[in-house]
Amino acid sequence: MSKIMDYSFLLQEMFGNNSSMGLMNPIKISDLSSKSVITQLKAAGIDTGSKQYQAVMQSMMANSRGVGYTNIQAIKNRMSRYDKDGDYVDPVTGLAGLSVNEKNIASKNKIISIPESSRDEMFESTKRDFLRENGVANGDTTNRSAVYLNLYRKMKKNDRLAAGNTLRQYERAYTQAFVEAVKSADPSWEIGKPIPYGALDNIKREDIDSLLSVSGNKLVKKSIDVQI
Amino acid sequence: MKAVRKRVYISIIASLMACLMFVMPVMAAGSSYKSMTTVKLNAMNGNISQKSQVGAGSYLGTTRSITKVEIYVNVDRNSDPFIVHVISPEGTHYSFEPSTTTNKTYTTTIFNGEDPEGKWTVYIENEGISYKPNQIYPTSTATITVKPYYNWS
Repeated sequence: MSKIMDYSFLLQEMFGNNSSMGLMNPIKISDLSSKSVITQLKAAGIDTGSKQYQAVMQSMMANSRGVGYTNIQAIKNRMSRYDKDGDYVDPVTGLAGLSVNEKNIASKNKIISIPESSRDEMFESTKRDFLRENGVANGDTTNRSAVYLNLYRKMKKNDRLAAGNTLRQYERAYTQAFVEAVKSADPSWEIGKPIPYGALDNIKREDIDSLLSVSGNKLVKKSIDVQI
Repeated sequence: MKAVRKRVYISIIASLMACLMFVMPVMAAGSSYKSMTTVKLNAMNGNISQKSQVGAGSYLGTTRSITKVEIYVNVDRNSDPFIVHVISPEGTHYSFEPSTTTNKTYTTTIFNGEDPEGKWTVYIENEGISYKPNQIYPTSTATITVKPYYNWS
């Protein structure tokens, strides 16, 4: 009995005719681990041993429950969003290590050491926003996301979530210091009212930082013991 | 003697309570939420949709802390499987696979503790899976509403 095998798709992939062949030839999800399909994927330039491929397969299998169809181009498109370690690269920031789920949430809720330059940047940015908006939190004009992004670029992938948590603690402390300074200058001040001229001039970031200590997953003001 | 001591203690406690009532400033605080809806998001063949930025306007208080985020997915009929991606202003990235047949609200506590102030980014990612073998491109379409609830003071 003669056995006929059609390898024309391999020749077409080799000559770069990806657009129609990948899309027009559906692959059954249940066949993805078969030898013939793996050969097909390898011929199309997909490294089936890579962590990117494994990450995509895990996602596809979980959502489809082994039912349905995919195609070569779809697999390639999905793989392009994972790094060599199989971690998802956020297309907004271009960075990995910022995805949170129930399994890694504990790694986010930590206080770690972050660069002084980022604390400086957050202090200046928070002060500018506070003065410009008279203490109102304005989602349209705030620059805080850019400060977080700059911090993440300085940190190792696995430290980014904790770094963001830590920076937020500093951000809160700076805002609170500004509120206290304004109220000290004008006890009747409320959010939205003009800030007295020069109310924030004597506030230094280092002075605020020196008053903070770690308490669990937060930074809190140190208590002062007074002995008489 | 005991009765005198008791009276002294009671008057000290009453004085302290009076001090707390009149000396401590009145602290404004409360809970609120913001509701933000994307444009219609389309993704096909394993690609992502446009990234929709939402979150305009002001937020209450000077200190805010998210207590939960509700994400309502309004999915178009005949959508193929997709993943919803939500990124907070602090860059935290959360994703999940919603139903493709039922509009539904999903709740997450992943963003708890964060300040919701700023732009949120939402997009969908087509999984590259179709249940129709004759369909050339798997496609997904949805509109997403993100609602962070927060405490403020």
